[in-house]
Amino acid sequence: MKKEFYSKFLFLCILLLPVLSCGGGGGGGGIIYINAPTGISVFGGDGYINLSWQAVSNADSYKIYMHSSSGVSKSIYTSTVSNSSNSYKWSSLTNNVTYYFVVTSLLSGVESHESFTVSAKPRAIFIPPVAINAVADDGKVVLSWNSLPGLTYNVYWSTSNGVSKSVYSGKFQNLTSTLTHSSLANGTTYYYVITAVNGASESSESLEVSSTPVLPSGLDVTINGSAFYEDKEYDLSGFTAIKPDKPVRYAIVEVVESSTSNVLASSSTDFAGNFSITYTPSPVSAIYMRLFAETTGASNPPVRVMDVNTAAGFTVAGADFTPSIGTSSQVQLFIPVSSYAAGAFNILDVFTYAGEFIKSLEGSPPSPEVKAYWNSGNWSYGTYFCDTFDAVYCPNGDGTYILGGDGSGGGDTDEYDDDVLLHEYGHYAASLYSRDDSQGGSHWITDNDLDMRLSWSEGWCHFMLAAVKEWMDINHPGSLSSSGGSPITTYVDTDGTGASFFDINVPLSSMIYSSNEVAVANALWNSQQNTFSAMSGIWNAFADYMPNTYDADLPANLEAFWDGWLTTNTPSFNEYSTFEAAFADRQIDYSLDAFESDNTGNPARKISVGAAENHTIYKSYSSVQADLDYVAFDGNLGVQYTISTSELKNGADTIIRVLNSSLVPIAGAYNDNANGLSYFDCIDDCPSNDDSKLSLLASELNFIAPSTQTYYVEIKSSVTRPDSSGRYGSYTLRITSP
Amino acid sequence: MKGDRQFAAPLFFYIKTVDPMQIMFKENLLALISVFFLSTLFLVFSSCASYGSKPASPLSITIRPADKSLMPQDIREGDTLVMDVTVLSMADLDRVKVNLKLTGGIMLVQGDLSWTGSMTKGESKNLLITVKIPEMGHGKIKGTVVAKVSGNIRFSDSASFIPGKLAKEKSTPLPLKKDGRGRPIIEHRL
Repeated sequence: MKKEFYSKFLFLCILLLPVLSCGGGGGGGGIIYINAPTGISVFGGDGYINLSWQAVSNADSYKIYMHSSSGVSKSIYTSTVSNSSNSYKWSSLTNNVTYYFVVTSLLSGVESHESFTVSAKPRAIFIPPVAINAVADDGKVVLSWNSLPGLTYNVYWSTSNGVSKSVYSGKFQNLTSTLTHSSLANGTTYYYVITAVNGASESSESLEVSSTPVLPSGLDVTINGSAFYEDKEYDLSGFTAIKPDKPVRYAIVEVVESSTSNVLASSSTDFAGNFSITYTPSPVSAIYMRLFAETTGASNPPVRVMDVNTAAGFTVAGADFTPSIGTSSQVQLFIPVSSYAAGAFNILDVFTYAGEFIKSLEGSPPSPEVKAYWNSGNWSYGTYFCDTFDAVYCPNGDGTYILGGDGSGGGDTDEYDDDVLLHEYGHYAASLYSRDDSQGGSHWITDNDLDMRLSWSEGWCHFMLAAVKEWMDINHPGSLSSSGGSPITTYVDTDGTGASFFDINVPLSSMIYSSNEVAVANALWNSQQNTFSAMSGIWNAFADYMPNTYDADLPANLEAFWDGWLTTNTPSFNEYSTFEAAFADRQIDYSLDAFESDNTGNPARKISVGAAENHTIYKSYSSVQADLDYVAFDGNLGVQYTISTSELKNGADTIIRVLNSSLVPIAGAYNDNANGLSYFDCIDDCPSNDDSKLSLLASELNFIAPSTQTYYVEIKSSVTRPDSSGRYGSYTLRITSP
Repeated sequence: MKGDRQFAAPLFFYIKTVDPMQIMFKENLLALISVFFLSTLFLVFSSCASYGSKPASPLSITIRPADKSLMPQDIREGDTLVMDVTVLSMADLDRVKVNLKLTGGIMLVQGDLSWTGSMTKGESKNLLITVKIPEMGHGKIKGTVVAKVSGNIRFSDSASFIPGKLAKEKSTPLPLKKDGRGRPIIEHRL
C-alpha cells in the first residue's frame, strides 16, 4: 500500500513538473488541487450522528459542515468542525431532528469542494420501558414508567394475565410517562403491558405488571355486637314464668348484603355472646347480621342445630341497616321465645356446655360435631339419639333428634328441656367415646328388668346429665335453666302442662338392680361423689376401657364398666368399698355373698334340703374372673331332688350341675334353662330376667341320688346367656325333695 | 362390636309413639295389615340403627272419639259425641290423677272431668265423657294425668283433641337459603 502510494506520488510529480514546484509545501504560487471526500455514510444514535467517508489522498485534514436544512455548503452552514481522520462523531444533537452534512478535504490549506450532502436523525434506542410502577388505589391503578424523549407509549390492559398487543381488554395511546386507570372494581386484579411508539413504529411489549385496586386502610366497616336468646327456666312443676337472657356462645355470625344475599364477612361470638367483624365494603350497602345455631368448632365444642325436614341449619337474621365507613356500628341480636328459632339456640347452648364438660375431661372438644335435628310439633316420635341412618326415625343419619309434639296441639316438646337434651347428649358421648350396645326402644325408669345393655345406656345418660349440670353449676354459676328449684341430679321433662321428674340421687326404694336405669345412675353418681378420682375415674373406665380394652364379644353394660373401673383406676380397698357400697345401696350385688368363699366343694357347709340360699356371682376387688359357687347337700339313695335357681337379679343367667362327693359330675345332672331353650347369640329378641319370665333363664333339674353321700351343686354364669343378661348377678338356690 | 345393631322392638315402638291406643283399638283388618307392613319395612330399614331415647313416662293419656272410625275432621259444629280418654300405666302407681279441661265453648253433657285412683303395671283406664261441640269454632279438650310418687318423683303426660277440620294447621315452611359455605339454612327474621 505504501509502496503504491509513493509510486503514484512520483508519477504525479513527473507529470506536473513543469507547473508545480514539487517537493512539498510551502509557499510558492503553484496550483494545488485536492478531491472532495466520497463514500460518506451517516448513522443517527441517541443525541449524536456518526459520519465516515473514504480517505482522500494527500488530504491532511477534513472539514465537516452541518446545517439544519438541506442547503448546506461551505458558505451556508450552522456549524463546522475540522477533523484529521475520515470519521467523526457529532454529539450533543437533538434526537429526531434531521441534520444535513457536507465534508471537504484540505491539503496545505487548500480546501476541496463539498461532498455530496448527507443527512441523518439522532434517535434514542427503541425498546419498551423496563421500569414500571403500578400503584393500586380506591377504584383505580396509577401506572408510571421511565419515558424517553421523542417517544410515545401505548398501554394495554386486561383482567386476565397474558396481556399483549393482540390480546387485551382495553388500550390507551399517545401516553408520555403516566396513566391513571380509573373506574375499576376494587378487589379485581388488572394486568398491564406497555409499548414505546416512534412514529409508525411500535416496540415489543414490556414485562407484564398487575395491580388490584382496594380501599385505602381506614375506610373499613366494623360491626360490634352481642347475641342473646331467651331461655325458659323450669322447676319441678314445669316452666316458670322466668325467661332469662343467655348469651349465644361461640356461634357463627355472618354479614349479609341485603340486596344480593352475598356473605361479606363472618366471625363468631365469644363466651359472653359478643362479636366484632371488620370488613371492606365495596361499595357501602345495606346489610344485616345472620346468627347461626352452630358453633365454630375448632377449640369449641362443635354443635349444629338443623331442621329435621330439610337438614338446613337454623339461623336468625337481624334488621337491615347501612353501616358507616370508618366508624363502628353496634348491633344487638336478641331472640325471644316467641321466635320459633329460639329453641334451636337453647339446644345449641346446652350441647355446647356438655361439649365443654367433655373437653374438661379429654383436653379437647368432642369431634365430629354433634348434629341436632329439631322440629317441634309436627313429629310425634319424641327425642332420641341415632348413631346411623334409619329411613323412618333417623332420616338424616346420625344425630340427636328432638322432635316432640303430638301434632294435635298438645304433647311434649323438648327444645327447652335441658335435662332431656343432656340425657341425649350422653348417648352421643357413648357413641363417640365408649361403646353403646343398647338396642334402644322405649324404657321406663320403674322397670327393674331392663335389658342390661339398655339399663347401662340409659343409666349412663341419667348420670352424665347430672355430672354436666354439676360442672356447669361450679364452673359457670347461673348457667343452669333449672336453678330455680330443681336439684342438679333431677331429670325434668316438661310436657306443656306440668312436668315429669325424678331424682337419681333420691330414687324410689323399688328402683334397684343393674337392670334398672335409675339404679345404675344412682350408683355412678354416689361413686362420683365419694371416690378418689371422682369424674375422671369414671370417665377413664367409660372412654378408655370399654371401647379399647373390654372384650369385644361381651356386651357393654354395667359389668363392663365395673371391670373397667377396677382395671383402669387400681383403687385402694377403701375406694373399692365405697363404690361397692353404692352398688349395694341399689341391691346391685357385685360383692361376696354370705357363703363365700365357696368356689370349690366344702363338705363342712351344707344346705338343708327344703331350704333356700341367696347367692351372688360377683366381680370382687381381688377376683380375676367371675365367681362360681359350690353348695353341698346330703343325698339319700333313690330319693329325687329338685334343684333350682330362681329370683334371678342383676342380669344373672345360671347354669347348674350336680357332682358327687369326689367332685365328679353326675352324668345328665345339669341344666341351663329350665325350659330347655338356649338364647345364645340373640341380638334383638333377647329375653330379660324379668320377674314374669324367670323360667327363661333360671335353671332347674330333677336328680335321683344313685347312692347316699354328699353331693355338690355347682352354680355359675351360663356361657349361653343372652346379650341382655350379664356374667354376674344374684340368684336363690333351692333344693327340695317330694 | 358384636353383630349389627337392630332395633329391639320396632312394632312396639311404632305403637307407642304413633298412638298406642289408636293402634291397639283399631279393629279393622286394614289397620292390622298396615301395622304389619310398616313394621316389616322398619325391620328392613333399621338393620343398622341404634336408638337412645329419653325415658318414657310410665303414664300416658290419649283422647279420641269413642267411635274409633271418627276422625277430627269428621266432627262438625254442634255435634254431640262421646269421647274416650284412655290412661295407660306402665308401673304400679297410687294416686293417679286425671284432669280434663274443656275450652273454646265445648260443653260437658255427661261424665266426669277428673278421676283419681290406683293403677297397676300394664293397666289402662278409660274415661268416657259426652261433650257438645260449639256452634262456632272448634274448642279443645285437654287432658293431663299425674302421679306424684314421692317428693322426688312425679310422672305425668298430657294430650289434646281439637275437633274439626282445622285440628292441625301446618305452618308454611320458610324458603331455604345458603350460608357462606353454600350449605342450606333456614333464616328466621327477628
